[in-house]
Amino acid sequence: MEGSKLFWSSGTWVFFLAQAMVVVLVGYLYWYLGKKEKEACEGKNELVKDK
Amino acid sequence: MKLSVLIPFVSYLLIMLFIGMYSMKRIKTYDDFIIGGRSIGAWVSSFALITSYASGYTYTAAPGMAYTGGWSTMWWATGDAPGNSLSFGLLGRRLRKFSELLGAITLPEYYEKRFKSPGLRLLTSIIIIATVSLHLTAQWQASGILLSVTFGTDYLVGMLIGGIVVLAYTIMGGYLATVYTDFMQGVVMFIGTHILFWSAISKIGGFNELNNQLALINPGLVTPWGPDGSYFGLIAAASPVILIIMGSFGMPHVTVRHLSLKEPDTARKAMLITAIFVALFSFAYYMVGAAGLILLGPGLDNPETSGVLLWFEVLSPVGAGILVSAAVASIMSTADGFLMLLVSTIAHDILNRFLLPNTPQEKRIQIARVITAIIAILSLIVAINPPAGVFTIVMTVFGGMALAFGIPNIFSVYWKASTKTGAIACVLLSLTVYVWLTAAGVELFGMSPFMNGLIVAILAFVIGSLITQKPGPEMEELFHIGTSYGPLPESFVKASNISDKLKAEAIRAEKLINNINTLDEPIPTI
Repeated sequence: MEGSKLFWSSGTWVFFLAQAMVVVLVGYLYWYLGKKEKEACEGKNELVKDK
Repeated sequence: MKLSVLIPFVSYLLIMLFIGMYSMKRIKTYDDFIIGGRSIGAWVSSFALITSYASGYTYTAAPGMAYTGGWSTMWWATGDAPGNSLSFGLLGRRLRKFSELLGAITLPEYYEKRFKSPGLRLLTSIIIIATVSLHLTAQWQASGILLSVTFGTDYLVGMLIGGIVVLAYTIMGGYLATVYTDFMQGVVMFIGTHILFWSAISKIGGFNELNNQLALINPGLVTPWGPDGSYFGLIAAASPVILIIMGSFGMPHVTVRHLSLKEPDTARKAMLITAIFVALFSFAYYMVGAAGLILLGPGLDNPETSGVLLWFEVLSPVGAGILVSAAVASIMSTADGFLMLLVSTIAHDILNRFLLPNTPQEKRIQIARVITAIIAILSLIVAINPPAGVFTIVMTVFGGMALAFGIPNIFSVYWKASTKTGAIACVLLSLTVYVWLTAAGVELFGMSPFMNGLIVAILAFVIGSLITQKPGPEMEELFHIGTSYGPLPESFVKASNISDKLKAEAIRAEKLINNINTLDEPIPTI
């Protein structure tokens, strides 16, 4: 089998998918933590638990 | 050696020295020298972590692995982006808060104050000094080999060039110089690696052609399992990913970057920057080796030279000069992190804590500078005739440090019931098991020594903590404030003795909860 076809059929491409998913998940975490930080800053006197 | 190769490299060295001089002007206090006065922003912190993590390994061992293993090497690269970025997002944010609340500027000091154990501080300091000294020697050795291969100089000259430049900017600018140079070095490494990688892919004729030619040599090179199937199976494939992730959570010269973040929320921004850049960077520096297999041909005596040899195969002299700078940058950025870690450990955790307490601030900086010079010179002397197998030892030590520091780091900010017994048991037992299994070449239960060590580390920490005394109200308060979102309360930031304030606040909160009559026993105030 040609190497270019083997790359797709053996699932090697998943390495790139994994890298992309990491960036997406970290992007989500960035947004989520930012939202919590903003909420905490708006309610200045109340500590918002990290749970 | 052509001048066109030399000019970019010499320019790079001069810029590093300039940054050292610039940083020197910004040093006003002892904390500035040791931890940059907790003033480092997201971009610089991100690149400082990435480059400290990516050592000389990036341009030697990593391409060497892809030269022999093809795409299967990507299991190692897969751990880089989540490890480096989540180290900021999950560990860094809390570690930054906890360390400030406890008034700690080094990791051993943090362990002492978090676990209330001077013994743990001494133990972790000794482990850092022993292991990091070896790492530092290996970086000088890599500098000597790299520059002698590239410029045809003596090994000693190449080693001294790397060593003297790092020593000069570190002694002048301390921690600030190391992170600012790390930022510049990160930029050079990122650009240089991509120039090399895409030039090589272009010369081969594209990705499809790379895969076709790899498959002609051995079809296994194009699969995730490797030419000999060594990555086949869940444990075999997951082990390198977990090792790399744990390295990001454990290596002390990496995690110390969290303590210097400008704000706790800086970790969130650094996390995103790190994820994007590492995802784009790590696959390229590994797969350069696979491109080298096609362009240089199979049968290199030392596969680890494939990355360096490729520079002169596919790049112009100026491009090769940039790559030399990038490779030296990878060595320097790790060496300066190690050097600074050794300095802070010896000056702050050993001398100031145990031997010379109450030393005035100005004198502390002077002592730290002298120690920096002594350590660098000693390690350079050792590197002239390095002990046999130093690189093997260094790679082994990497896993050991990831275990010894990674698990206590994570548990210390996520589990308030963590105790010094758990931490000490974790450090000692995981290191013992890991080193013993590695030396004996034993894979218990079909798992690598690192995975066995990881299981021992977690069990030792949890069991050791559960069988000992529960943490007091001060720890409850530390977690209450440290795990909350938003900036730290002003009263804590401005407090002269934060630990006392924390304790007072904890007692006050406890008494309020228990409705104790305050007329008889006044509640302490912040």
